[in-house]
Amino acid sequence: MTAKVVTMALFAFAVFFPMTGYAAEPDFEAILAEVDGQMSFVDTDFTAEMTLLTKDPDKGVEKIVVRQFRRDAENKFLMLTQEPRQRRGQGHLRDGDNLWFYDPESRKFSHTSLKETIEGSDARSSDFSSSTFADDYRVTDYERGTLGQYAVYIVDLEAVHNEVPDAFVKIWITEDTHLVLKMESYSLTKRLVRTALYPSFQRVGNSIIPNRMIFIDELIPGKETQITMTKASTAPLDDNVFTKAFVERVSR
Amino acid sequence: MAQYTTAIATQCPPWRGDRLCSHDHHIAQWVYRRSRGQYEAPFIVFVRGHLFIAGEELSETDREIAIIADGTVLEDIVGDVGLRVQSVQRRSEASATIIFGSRQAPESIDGVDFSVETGLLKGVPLLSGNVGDLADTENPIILTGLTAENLGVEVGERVVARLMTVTGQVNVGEFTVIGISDDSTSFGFTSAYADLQYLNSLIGLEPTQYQKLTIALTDVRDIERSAQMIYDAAVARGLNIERPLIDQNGGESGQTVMVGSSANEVWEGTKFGLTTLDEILDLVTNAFELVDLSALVIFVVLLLITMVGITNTFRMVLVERIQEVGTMRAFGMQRRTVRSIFLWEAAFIAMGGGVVGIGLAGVIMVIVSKISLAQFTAMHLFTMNGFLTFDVTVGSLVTNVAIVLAMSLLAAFLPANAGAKMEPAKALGGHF
Repeated sequence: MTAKVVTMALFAFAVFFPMTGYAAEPDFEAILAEVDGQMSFVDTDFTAEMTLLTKDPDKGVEKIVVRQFRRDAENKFLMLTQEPRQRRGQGHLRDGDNLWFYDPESRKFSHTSLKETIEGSDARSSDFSSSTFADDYRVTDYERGTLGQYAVYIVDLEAVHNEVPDAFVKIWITEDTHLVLKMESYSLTKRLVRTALYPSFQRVGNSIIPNRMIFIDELIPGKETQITMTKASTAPLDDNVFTKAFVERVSR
Repeated sequence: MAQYTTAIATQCPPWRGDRLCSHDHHIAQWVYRRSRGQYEAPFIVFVRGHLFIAGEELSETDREIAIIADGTVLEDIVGDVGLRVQSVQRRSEASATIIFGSRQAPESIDGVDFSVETGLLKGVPLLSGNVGDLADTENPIILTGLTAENLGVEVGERVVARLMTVTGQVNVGEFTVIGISDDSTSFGFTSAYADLQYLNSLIGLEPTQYQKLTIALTDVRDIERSAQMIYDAAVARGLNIERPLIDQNGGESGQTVMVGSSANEVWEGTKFGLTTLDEILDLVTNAFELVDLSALVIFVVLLLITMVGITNTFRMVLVERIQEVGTMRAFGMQRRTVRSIFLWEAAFIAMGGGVVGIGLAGVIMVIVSKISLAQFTAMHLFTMNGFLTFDVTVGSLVTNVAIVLAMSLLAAFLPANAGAKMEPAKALGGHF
């Protein structure tokens, strides 16, 4: 009898103990893969309009409206500037490893980098492409914490290669839904360079992506960029959208 | 141009070949001897050398990285071929955003071994600061005057530099400003100077690595010969070396010809690119010659338009004087003489107009040259000390007047010829 009770107690402990929160160490490989999967559009195209509001203590506030087209399965994206008028027609076109900047004034394409910022804002081209934490980073440390009302994992990541702009990042991932709420980017000298906040998300097709982003420049006090996403759609896009000819045509 | 030649003459006469003269003066020697033009002079002083060897390697992902990881063989070659070298300088460079408080400004930073390039420290004109504090200062930087002004920074203050490593990753460093250089005379060819090893650490290079080798020769007449000696010796030792600007200018065959490396090209080890001061300045000269050519084309088009007006005007003159022409022809004046009357009239009007135009242009040039353009950084290449200068010679004046004269005569020829061919009876009848 006693043995039976002990066995039952042990069994109950094994079943219910994980639910108390003292769980096994999280599988961050899987979590990061899930983060990437949620924020990518593997099976569909993606279109949206992005409004960037850049606040610069020297230059004031500048508004830029960009139309974004993505095809993550082929590593392609296009961003066309709609506003302000003097920048209308400028485009960033990515086709695999090549990223081009188009200037409608000179009608020329020039090579650029995912690591470059967009139009003087704190956002980079890489912020508008698919998430690749699982491929580009490895976890060096983590802790549990909270961000507002959300229970999060605070995860330290180190780049596994030098193709990404940030050598070190720290991300806040919700424990239940595995959404990235905050990201701190650090330089090679481990100085905080930028903080990204993702205060709200939107389901678009099978993905969940932030529809509001705030990038804070940690080197220049008072400088930040707020991005709002609207008119999101997963309708199929024509193949020629991701071509230079298309960019030149729509920029006229 | 005059201020450079004056400085050279008073400080270090180049024709004396004085080896005690500093590196800068030998560079200026080249300027004086070649006299290639005022816009090239500050560029020459800026580059501070005659031969430039840059290195590139491919990363693990086949990205091109500017680096000379191990320059030992290269430097041995420079030593072995028997060049008459004044100095050999290792340099790295980075494009950075300098941040001070809430302000930011772009700046190009050259990594310099200050213990070796003492001539640089003496030669950089400073608005403020003292390079004697170099040894006592952590991560010193000499900022350009324009950047310092934009940031509102002074000597002794700390600035932050945001830049990218050779592989494109974001990095941040801090510098202490020990000097602010005077870039008002440099036509926009300026950069900040920082310690080579510290800059290397920021851009992801090891302390002993660098990105380019700059060689200053003792005799500027040796430039091409020295470049060829280095090239041949490097090829003989199996180095991957090219002269990227040679074939663009229609140079000799047999050189490795690769006009610009593309991401599609794959190689192992370090690929070196050798350029000379002459080749670089040819590019600068070509750019300005293109501007000159464009201006000339516009000038010719304007002249052609004016010629149409002159032709019409002389046709009207002929119509008004048709009876006079008829009278002169009736009295026996030859056609040649009738034609020459109109042509001489056109010539005198053209020359008179040319003289008036020159006078007016002179007044305008004097007025425009008093206007300061120093705040327009895009104009630095075309201004000296922030002011436009005009290079007017007697030859150019005579040439321009001659062109105007020729165009006027050409424009007046058709109506003059028509008047000369007129029959006296018809002319007296007032018919044209």
